[in-house]
Amino acid sequence: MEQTKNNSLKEIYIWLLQVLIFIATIALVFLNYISVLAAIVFFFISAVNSIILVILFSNFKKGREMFSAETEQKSRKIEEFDKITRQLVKRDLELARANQKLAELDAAKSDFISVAAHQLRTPLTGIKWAYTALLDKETGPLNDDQKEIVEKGLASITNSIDLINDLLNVAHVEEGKMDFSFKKQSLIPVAEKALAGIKLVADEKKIAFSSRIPAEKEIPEVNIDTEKMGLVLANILDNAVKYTPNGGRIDFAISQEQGLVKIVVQDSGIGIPKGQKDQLFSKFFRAKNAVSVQTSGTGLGLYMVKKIVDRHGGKIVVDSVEGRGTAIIVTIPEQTARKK
Amino acid sequence: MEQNQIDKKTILIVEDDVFMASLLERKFRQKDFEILRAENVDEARKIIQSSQINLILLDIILPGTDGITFLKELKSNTQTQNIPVIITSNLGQQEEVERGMTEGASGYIVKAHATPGEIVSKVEEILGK
Repeated sequence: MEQTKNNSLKEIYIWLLQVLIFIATIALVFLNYISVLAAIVFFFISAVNSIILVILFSNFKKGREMFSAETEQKSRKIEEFDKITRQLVKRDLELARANQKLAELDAAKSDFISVAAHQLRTPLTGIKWAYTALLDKETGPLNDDQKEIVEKGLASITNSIDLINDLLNVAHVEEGKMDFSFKKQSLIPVAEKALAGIKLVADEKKIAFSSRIPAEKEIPEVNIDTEKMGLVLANILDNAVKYTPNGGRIDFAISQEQGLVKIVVQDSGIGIPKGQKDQLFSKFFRAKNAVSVQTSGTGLGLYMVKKIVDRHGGKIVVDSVEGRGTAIIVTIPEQTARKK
Repeated sequence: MEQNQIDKKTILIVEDDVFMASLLERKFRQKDFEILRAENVDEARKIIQSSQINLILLDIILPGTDGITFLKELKSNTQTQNIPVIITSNLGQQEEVERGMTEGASGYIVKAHATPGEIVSKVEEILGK
């Protein structure tokens, strides 16, 4: 009995041992599979890593190449930029030098014009005064022929002085150096002075002269530079007399119209040829028929007149029919004036 | 006659152009002025020291010292500051005129724009003659 019990225990142990060995075997096999699987996974990950590394390396190489190309391009651009900057600095210096030179030349030109005007006027003044002395009978009376010669000489000299003044004024207008001194005042005394200045010549040509000038209180004051506006009116009136034949007619009028003071100088002179009116205020322009009537003249007077009227914020227009006469209309606004 | 001499106003013409100065002198003498002439500022200074001057006609461009410098000198000297000075010049730009007037001139005449008769009239106006 006891023997049988021992045999049964042995069998159980053997069975248990066999079970343990089986489990161990299974476990080993399983572990082996895990290892293999891990190895496969490891291999796979390594492969993927390698591929990624290859790709990354390839991209890095490409990137490095691109970066190098870009850097080179940028360097070239910087170099070009430097070159352009150097050129600009050089040009800037050249321009600064040129500007300085121009300023010096401009100052020299102004001085030259001023000195030239002085030097030209001085001998002409001597001649003018000498003729005036003769006409004033300081050396005794003149006979009619002598008087006529001296008067013509005086007129020539006066024209020459006017020409110098015109050139001087135009030079100043163009340089922007003509000083304007605006003051709110009546245009009437300025007009009266200009009319008085032209009356003698008009009378000599037997030109019928009419003027419609209202009382000062009837015309509003305007902002004007008296001297410059006097120059404007003197020029317009001088042209009217110059280009109106003997025995002709000139009408002068001042009026107020819609916030403007209006001056009209209407003559019965030679007029302006069709198609030339637009050029009337251009520098050095002289109408064809004007040259045949009056050889002297620079074509600067009306150019300067327009510049001065513009500076007063005014307008100048011309209405003319060739052979019948010309009207020059100047309007100056009551309120506005351009101050320097 | 002596009384007439005393009443005569004396004008000093400072002008380097002798011909123009002589034409001016002729006109002034016709109008009963006494005339003294200087061709430059040095001569003018000597005349002013030795004579009673009622008015000075002063050119600007002169040999040696220019007229504007002389004008400043006259106006800064108590002995001469009350003598009226009229500038007679052929420099006629506005800035030149303004400069002359700022320095104390009583008038500014551009010679080319005036006659001797007109200059005499201006002098008479200033002297209240």
